Amino acid sequence: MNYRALGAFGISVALFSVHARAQDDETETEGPAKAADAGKADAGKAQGGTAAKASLGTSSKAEGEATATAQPPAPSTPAAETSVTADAGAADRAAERPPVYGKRGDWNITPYGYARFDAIEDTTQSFDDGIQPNLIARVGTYRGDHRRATFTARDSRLGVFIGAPAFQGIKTSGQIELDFYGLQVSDAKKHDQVVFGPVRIRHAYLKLETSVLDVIAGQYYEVFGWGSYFYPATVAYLGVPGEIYHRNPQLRLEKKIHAGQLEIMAAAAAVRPGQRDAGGIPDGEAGLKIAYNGWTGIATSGFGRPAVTPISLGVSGVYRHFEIPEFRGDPGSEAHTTNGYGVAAQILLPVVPAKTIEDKSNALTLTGEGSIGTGIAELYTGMDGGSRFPLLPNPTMKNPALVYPQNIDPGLVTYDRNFEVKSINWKAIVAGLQYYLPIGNGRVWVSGIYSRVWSDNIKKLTPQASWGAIFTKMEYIDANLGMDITPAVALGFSFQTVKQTFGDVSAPTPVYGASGTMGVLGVPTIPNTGGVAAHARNNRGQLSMALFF
Amino acid sequence: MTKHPTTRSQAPLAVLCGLFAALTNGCMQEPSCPTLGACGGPPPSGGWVLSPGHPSCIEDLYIAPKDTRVYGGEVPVARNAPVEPALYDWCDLLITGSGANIQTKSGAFIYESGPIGRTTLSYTPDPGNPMAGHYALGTTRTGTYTLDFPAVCMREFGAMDGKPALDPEGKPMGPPVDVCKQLEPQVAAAGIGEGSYPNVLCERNPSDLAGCLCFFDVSETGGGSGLYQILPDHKTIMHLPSGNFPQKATFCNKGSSLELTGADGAYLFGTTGLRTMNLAASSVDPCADGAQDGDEAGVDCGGSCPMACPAPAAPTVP
Repeated sequence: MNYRALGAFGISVALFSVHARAQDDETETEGPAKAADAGKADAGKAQGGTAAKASLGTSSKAEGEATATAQPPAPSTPAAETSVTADAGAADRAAERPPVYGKRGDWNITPYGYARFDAIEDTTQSFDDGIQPNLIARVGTYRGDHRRATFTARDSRLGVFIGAPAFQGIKTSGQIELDFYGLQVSDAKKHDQVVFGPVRIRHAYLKLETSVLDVIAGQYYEVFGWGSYFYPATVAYLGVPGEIYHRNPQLRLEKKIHAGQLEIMAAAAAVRPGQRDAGGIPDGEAGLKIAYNGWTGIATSGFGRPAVTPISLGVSGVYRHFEIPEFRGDPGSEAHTTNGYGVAAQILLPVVPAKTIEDKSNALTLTGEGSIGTGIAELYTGMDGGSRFPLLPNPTMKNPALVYPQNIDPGLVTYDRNFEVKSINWKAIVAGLQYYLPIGNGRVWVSGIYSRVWSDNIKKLTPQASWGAIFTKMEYIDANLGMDITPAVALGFSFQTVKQTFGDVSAPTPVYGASGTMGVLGVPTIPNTGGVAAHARNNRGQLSMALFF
Repeated sequence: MTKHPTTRSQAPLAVLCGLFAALTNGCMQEPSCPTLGACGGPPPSGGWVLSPGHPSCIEDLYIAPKDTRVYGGEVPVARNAPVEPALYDWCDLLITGSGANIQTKSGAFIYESGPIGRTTLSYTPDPGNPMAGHYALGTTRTGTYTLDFPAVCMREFGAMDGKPALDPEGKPMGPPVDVCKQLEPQVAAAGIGEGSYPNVLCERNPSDLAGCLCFFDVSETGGGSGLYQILPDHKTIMHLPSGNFPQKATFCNKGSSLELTGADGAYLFGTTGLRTMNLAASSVDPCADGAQDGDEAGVDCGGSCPMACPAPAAPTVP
């Protein structure tokens, strides 16, 4: 793939869009009265529109539904803002909507979101609200032997679908979605970290739909893993360990083909590179998804809203490039390079089908995902396995010691024992099952997930003295019970257990006692002791409630 | 007939809440070291050693080695970001000098959760007060460990085969040898200060021929001494070491055996990770058992032993 050409195409598309809007702005600007009417119309749509159908906060299912009814607005132009403040009639025009394409009433702006409360009890003090792939505190340490309670509303979300009037056969739409997991200052108090909840972008993109191709530009779920189409149902935060769960700025081309009830979607994207300084080359992603609408079931993405979903199969891949300086304190201009890749396959199988969302009783759906790759750790929701670059040797005992000028996030690549750059391998599987009980037409559901993620080379790429700082395998199991208290309010209970196996192993038990003597090259030890990989486990109970709108 | 759906739905909700509470009130990580007896018994006195076949128990912890880049520089200069976290050095802080010999090794090697292989513990009650007195503890962490020095570490900085090994003072020792053999005295010397690394053997790594594998025994002594007192529950003993924080331990003294467990999850005698010790009464005087233990400065001398240690002999070149 010629990434630079792709990038140029993306820029062209963006420029074309702006130009088209600017022309329309000159002819379509409405007076204050019409703008006010349009505002009323939007409010009506927001209240009675399609928001309730959206699979909230989770999905491109939601995005797909929205694009059928919503079109995005164009942003205001600096020129328009200037004219409002400079004209003599500025007071009258203050309430006037900045000029955009089309009549105000032809736009569809649909807010959505949810207010969520989570009460979480952990048996160790290893995690914040999500089960991030941090190292779990070991038994025998203070944090490993004591509990933590977390109450939070930070996973609440606010979003808006935007649909613009069609123009010359091009449908345009967009989505902006926020949550409250923004970065905080490093010295923030624990209170502030939970209660303040700075805003974070989840999605912010525009979409152009043409008869030839669809284009998505902005931050959205990645093609690799196919976003929310295959997410399992759980009260726990997504992504669960081992699940590909990531959003990124991207320029994406999609093509959807319908053949009877068969729907085939192909997509390719140039994505923000895993390493910003990787020679200016973005990540390349591509995927193929097949769905058969004649066989549908009920599927819920995470703790979202259930939706009628067809049997689906997805495959996708990512390819990326890394360039890092030589492993020295004062590297020259030579770049050490390697590449990463990932391949994933997903399935959504309605074992016991269902046709309508109104009656979900006895619907049983299986979701599954398998992935393999190297240099893709962060696509598993920020995972790095504990891997870091090794310390530089300091043969001449410089003080302060030399520091390697690292230009990449940890966990993707590192230098091995021969000082050669290597990417870190990961494999993962995630299997989920969700069942809707015949109570209130399926208002009560149970689900469970088993997942594991493991690496076959992270230990080999880690100096022995740091084996205790990495994990080579992580396993996760959860069991969930959810119910709709009202059609808009859901209540969920979840039990989650996650176990990490570390790189270090226990030493053999020496022969004890006053008469224990040192051997020649070998202390006498009790047979079959030692060699056990260290591990730690966190168990979590979670209660969640959410109001979806 | 009036329906009361709200009342009806409260029962399953209560059950769910109960289930939630049950799930979150258990499930803690099980300690690797089960708690030993805390029956109390008579205040311990006399000498004790680890019971044969009843090891002490130490949790399998990981204590990261110090980041040598930030020694003395933990607070970066204004507007300079702290250094990125890093793992340990592939070369285990191996240092080569300006010459072609392996010359020195900085610091101690990292070996994890070294089990305690030998222990001597003595309680000496105050005259007329069996509930308090003086204690002395000696521990020896033992084990055989392997260090893996990659070829880059052994060669990149100028070290060459065919040079004599150097002693810690930089003087040649014996005939020319390969870099692995040059490394042996450096590894042995690295243990000085934290115990000793006897029986060092360094060989070429079969899977990395230019690199070296070094095997060595560890015999790291530790312990401490201070005052103790039996607390009013007659099941807990508080050790008051000189130069450290007080430490509590539950005990079960059956005359011939003494079980000690760090109280309330505390580490025993302040040794990181050490949870329990199962001790047997020792009829052997620690100052005459032919080993350096307890707070002895040498074999059966120094520390609390009545015999002072002889002055160290001047090092000799073989």
